[in-house]
Amino acid sequence: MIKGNNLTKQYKNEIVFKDLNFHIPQGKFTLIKGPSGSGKTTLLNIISTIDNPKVGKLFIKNEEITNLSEHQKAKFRAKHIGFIFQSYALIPEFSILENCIIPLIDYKLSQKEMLQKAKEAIQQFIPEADEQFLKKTPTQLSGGQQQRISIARALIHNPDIIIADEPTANLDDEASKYVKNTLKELVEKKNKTIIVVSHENDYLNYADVLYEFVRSDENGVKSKFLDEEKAKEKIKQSKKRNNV
Amino acid sequence: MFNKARIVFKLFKNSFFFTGTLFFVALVTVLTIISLKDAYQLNLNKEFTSKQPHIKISFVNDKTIKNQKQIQQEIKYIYKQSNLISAITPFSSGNKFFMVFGMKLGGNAFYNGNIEIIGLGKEDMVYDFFSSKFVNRGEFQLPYTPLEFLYNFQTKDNIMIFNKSLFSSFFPVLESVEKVSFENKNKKYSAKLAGIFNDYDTQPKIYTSIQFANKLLNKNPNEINGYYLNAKSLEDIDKLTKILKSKLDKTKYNVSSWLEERAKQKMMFYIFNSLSSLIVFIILVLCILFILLLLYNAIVKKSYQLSVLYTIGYYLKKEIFISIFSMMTLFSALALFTISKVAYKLANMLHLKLSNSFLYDSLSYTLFIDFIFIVLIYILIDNAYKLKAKSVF
Repeated sequence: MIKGNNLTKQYKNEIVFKDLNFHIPQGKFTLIKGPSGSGKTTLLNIISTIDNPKVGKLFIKNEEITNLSEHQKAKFRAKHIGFIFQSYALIPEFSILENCIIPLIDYKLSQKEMLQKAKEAIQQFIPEADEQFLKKTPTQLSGGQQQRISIARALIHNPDIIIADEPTANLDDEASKYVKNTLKELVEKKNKTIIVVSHENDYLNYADVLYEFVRSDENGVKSKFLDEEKAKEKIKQSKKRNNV
Repeated sequence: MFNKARIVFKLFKNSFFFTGTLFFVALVTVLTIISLKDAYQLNLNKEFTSKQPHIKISFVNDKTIKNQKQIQQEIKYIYKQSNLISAITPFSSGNKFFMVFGMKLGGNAFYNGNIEIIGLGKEDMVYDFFSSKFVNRGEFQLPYTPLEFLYNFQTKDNIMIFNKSLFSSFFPVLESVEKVSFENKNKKYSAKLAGIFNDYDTQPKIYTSIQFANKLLNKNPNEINGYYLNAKSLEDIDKLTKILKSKLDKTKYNVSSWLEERAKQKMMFYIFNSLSSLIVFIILVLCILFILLLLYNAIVKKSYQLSVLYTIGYYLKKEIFISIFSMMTLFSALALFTISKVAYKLANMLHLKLSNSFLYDSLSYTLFIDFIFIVLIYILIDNAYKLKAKSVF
């Protein structure tokens, strides 16, 4: 689904990672872990097609993304990727309904169809959402509700890939569990490719694949991935420990 | 319909409306200033060029030109070659002391002393003064003139017209043959036009016929002191003066131009032109910078929203540009409509006449300003996007 070949990213004199290779399979829950400043967000920006690696190639659905123009990349993101952010990233000027409609703009749908789809998407995550609720602006909602709306927005246009950046960092335990289960369900029931970036160990219980950033031994290079076998073992141990 | 344009409208409606209003006010102000400046310049230019531009040729040693035929031949040769001269007028001049020569100009001007008398003749070979535009000028300010005084000063049949509205420019004088009649306090005066009294300058002058001037100056009836040459246009004066100075014998003739005598006025004209253009330019630059700054600030303020949209795949550069362009077009049209209503009223209040091409000029200025804006706005949006629309991760 997503393949990174020899990716290197460098900011001025600092090499964040070098010759990074990975494969994110379709219909699996992939977790990208690592301490703060290890390069998680940098990699996420590359996978999201927002940033380019200095060296290396990125393939999504067998298409080389690194060669696309900014405009083509934006179109690609709008069509194939759904985003869930730590800070929810809902637009405060728009109502909840309007926030959810945004990803549908490029699809040739009537106004009525768009509204209907958005309503259904919101009600899937907040069943009690009535007309009055839909008119609310994001600032009138709780953190948990905002994240549910954010998930609804990420899924409304039925993307193949969902990228979530610390999606539960600002949520309480109950809301956090709800989001994690929702993401897992999306993998299991809808065959979506989920990529979660988080430092929370709890995600190991949900993940199928783990890419964990660890300190690199190479001089001048900040991070590298933990060995594949060790990563697999880590997931296994976690699931065993928690009876998942 | 919820689309990208609506997103942009919702995000920027307040800033765009505010900036648009400012753009409208700035455009109306700049266009008003430019129109009034152009009108004032046009009026000034008209006033300046309406004076018959002339060059004075006088004899160096002897104040009387003796060999009239020779200089006439020379001038006519230059006239034919250069094609810049419209008329040649012989003149006779001198000063005369008048013990009492006073008149009320709006009740406050009296002259008592030396008055320069300039007698002007007609050179039939070159120019017919009766077809001169002077006859139809209609700028005599007679209601302010004490005609009784003039009537008594002149012989019974002749009349002297005061010229208080114009500068001491050159006037071809009708040779005491033009019949005129004026009414003042229900009293009708019929007379022949004897001359023009120029009471505008510090040194009062009487323009009259050569014969009458010579009579007042106790000179021979046909004596002349030089020639006035009328240039076809004001712009030709310098060129013509140069030609005359190079072709005529410097030991015999003095050549001076009306523009040289009017250097101060000319300088003021150019200063006004440069200064007003500079002021308009500064206002324009400040307005453009201020509005661009506001637009940049509007984009910066919404950088988070733009970043969210950019991350989820919505690149709104084109829509923002189109929105600003539409706003500018709308406010430009409104500004043109407003200026077409306001500028005439303002010009009337200031006693100025707007140029005939005023609306066309305003449209050209607007298109020019819009073009500059569009180029700068495109660069601004591009840069603001590069700087501010980033990943939200």
